[in-house]
Amino acid sequence: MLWRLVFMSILSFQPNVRKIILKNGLKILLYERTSYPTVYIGVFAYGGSFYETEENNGITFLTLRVMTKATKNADYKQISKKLDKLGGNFSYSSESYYVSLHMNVLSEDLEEAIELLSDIIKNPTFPEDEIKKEKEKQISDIKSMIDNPYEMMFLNLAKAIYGNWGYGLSDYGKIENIKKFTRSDLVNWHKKIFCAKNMLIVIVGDFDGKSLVSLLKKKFEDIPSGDVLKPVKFSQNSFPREVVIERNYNQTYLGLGFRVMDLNSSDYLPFMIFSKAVSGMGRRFFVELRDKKHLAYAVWNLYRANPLAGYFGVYIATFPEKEKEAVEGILEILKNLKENGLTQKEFEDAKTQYEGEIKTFLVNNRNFGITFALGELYGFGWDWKFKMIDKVRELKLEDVNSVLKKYLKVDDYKLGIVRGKSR
Amino acid sequence: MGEDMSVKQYTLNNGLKLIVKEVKDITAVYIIAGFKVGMYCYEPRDKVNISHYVEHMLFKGTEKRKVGEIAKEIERMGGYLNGFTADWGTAYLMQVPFDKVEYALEINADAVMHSTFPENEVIKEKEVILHELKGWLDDPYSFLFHRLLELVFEVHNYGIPHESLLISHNNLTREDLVKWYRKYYKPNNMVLVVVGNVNSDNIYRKVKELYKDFRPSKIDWYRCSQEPPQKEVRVKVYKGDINKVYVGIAFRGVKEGHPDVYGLRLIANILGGGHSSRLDMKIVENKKLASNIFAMMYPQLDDGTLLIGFETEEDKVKEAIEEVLREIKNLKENGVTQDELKLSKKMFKVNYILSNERISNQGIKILKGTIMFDDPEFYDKYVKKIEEVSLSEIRKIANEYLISSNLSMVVYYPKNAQKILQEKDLKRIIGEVF
Repeated sequence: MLWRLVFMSILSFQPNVRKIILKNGLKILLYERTSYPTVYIGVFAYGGSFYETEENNGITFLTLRVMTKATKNADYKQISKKLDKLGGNFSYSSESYYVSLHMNVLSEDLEEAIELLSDIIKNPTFPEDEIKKEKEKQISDIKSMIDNPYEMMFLNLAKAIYGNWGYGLSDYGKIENIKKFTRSDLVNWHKKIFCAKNMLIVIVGDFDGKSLVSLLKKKFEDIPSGDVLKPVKFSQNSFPREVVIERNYNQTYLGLGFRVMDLNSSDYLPFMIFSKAVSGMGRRFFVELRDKKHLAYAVWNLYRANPLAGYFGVYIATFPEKEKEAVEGILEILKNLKENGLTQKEFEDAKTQYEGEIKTFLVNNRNFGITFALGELYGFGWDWKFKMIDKVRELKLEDVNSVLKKYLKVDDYKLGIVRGKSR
Repeated sequence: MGEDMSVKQYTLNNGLKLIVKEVKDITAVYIIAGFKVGMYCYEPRDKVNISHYVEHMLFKGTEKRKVGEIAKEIERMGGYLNGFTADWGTAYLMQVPFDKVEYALEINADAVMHSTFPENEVIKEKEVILHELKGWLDDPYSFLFHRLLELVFEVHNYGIPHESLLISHNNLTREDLVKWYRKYYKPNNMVLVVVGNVNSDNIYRKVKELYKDFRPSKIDWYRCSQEPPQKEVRVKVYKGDINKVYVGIAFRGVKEGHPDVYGLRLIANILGGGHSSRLDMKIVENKKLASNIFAMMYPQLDDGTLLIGFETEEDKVKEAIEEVLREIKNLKENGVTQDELKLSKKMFKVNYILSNERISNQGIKILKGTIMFDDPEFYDKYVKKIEEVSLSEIRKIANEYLISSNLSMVVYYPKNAQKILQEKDLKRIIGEVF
């Protein structure tokens, strides 16, 4: 295949990724890299806010919290100790479209790590006392999030764009929801998420492939097959143009954006290249708003997309009295882009950047693992990033600029604001 | 830790130190240039933040490249660039595709040697940095951290009050910046580290060529006043626009490289560094008094602190503080177990190996070790030093540093909190428990 040749020319080696599907339907991706005696293990599954309603928002993250606290074979003390014996590099997250558990361990500890992960995934017991404890912690995390201006700006913008759906829902959920979840809610949610057909495991690093495959079969082939989780459908309602909270802060944290295409759209690729062309310290928003107008220290683009939804925005943290100037500054750039498009130079630079980023990003086990896993979860295959190289090379400036005319809604933008107090 | 790697050190005739680490099976290169001059330690009180200001100006244009062009050139390659100012030095970093390393080195050299500090850019960047500094106090953890250091360090610049820092920054002029740049940005004060898929000798040849006209000069470093020993417990209470109570505790510790730093790191880890740490188990899991608790040793160039932080609710503040202090007291009086020590050492070792998977981590460790101790392998030797710490040393170190006269505490309450513990109440609690 042509992309393989292209890939070879970019990375100078071809990743030999093995894709295995167990009898129960569980997909496993294995990629051996031997330069460090370490291994990354990622367990991914469809889940998160796109699969939740306003009423059960937060259940995915609470399920993750409690399932990692007690299993048939270990209580929270034993699990914590086992995790620390492996180095303590264990984390989990709920990312709107999928959930993930990550472990980075030494190669010599791989078997032990897989034993522990399979126990957590297959045998959580959801004891009432742990549920109570983790509910309190999640409520506490919600309050911490409210104290974080950047996170609140991010959520406010997503809410203005999507209302109470998908990106508009917080991964932590709402306090009143967390309080009412029962043990059976969590047990049922766990069954839906951690069934073989809804999951994917990726392992990258220095390991012996042959013995690893037999271990994985032994540990994961008995997970019930289940079904792929269905996301909640988007129902278009009218959302407020802006979602604002006021705080006694030194700065105003502002996001301006709008809904754009999802990953399955043919417009995605040109828009992704546009996003690259305007993101970074040498690009329009940063140069105009920070370097030229000195309106902020922090300026960057927000672009999120998955197979269900997408949005684009610009974030700026400015002094409260400069909020209007900041909004006008962002709009001026967007209007110019909509009318005149990218320049040929910006476009060519973004295309070169796409290939270069593959080289600078794929430099450790975790980054390889996450890239492969997302390709599979999105339905494009683990090699999606490389397959796109050819398509990016074929793109023309007109393709990008016509997409900008369609999506840059300069008269229908949304705002997410955490407004500070003027000096 | 890999098999296919080697480190080579070169010193150019002008004194520039070049260190190259070859990592063959990746497609990127990390370049980091550092100067031995940084924030706080090297700055007079009325010039604090000058190192940071100069760092901001370095990518703002050279004789060849206008503002924004340096970033544009690096981003076009698919790379990224950034700078940071620590107390031990100022650094400029880039991660680029391996086949673009020579071009990136050229850009880096241009910024380092030929920055022009355009007057209008200096004025604009002052405002940009003001945004950055003011933003520090909007995030509750950042607020806690800065206010805690203000309390611990009454003399050393580490503790400069935030308000004074803003004044110092506002008073800095272009002339100050250029003077600073001309004084400290010299080859004999510079370390350049390159980690990635490169050939060391080719890098050496390229760097030698790029920096051949960079002239050295004698440098006399200014060093700020050192902090005298703390004599009594220090406490401060703040209120802000937040929803929870944030508590920070600091024990005055030791600077990086001090023989006791290894023991203090292990103590911090046993207290609040892992999933099974004492504070996590007792305060969060058993007593449910707090969340997101952590402990860490924070050794700097001139001094250091063992920091403990947690979040709690208004009605649990007193009990949470008491229990945290009891746990620390317990560790001090009864030491730690052999199992805890072994586990903590293993965590340190694993994290060290895992962190080396990232070329950026390797680059920063080499740079920091070289600038601070003239030893690129300083952080490689850390694991061995950690391994050597014994149970009796842990006990001795705990008893020497975890004492009330070394303790500072900041409690950050929501503005509408009703039951606020006053500073005298907190001092009494500390006195009773500790």
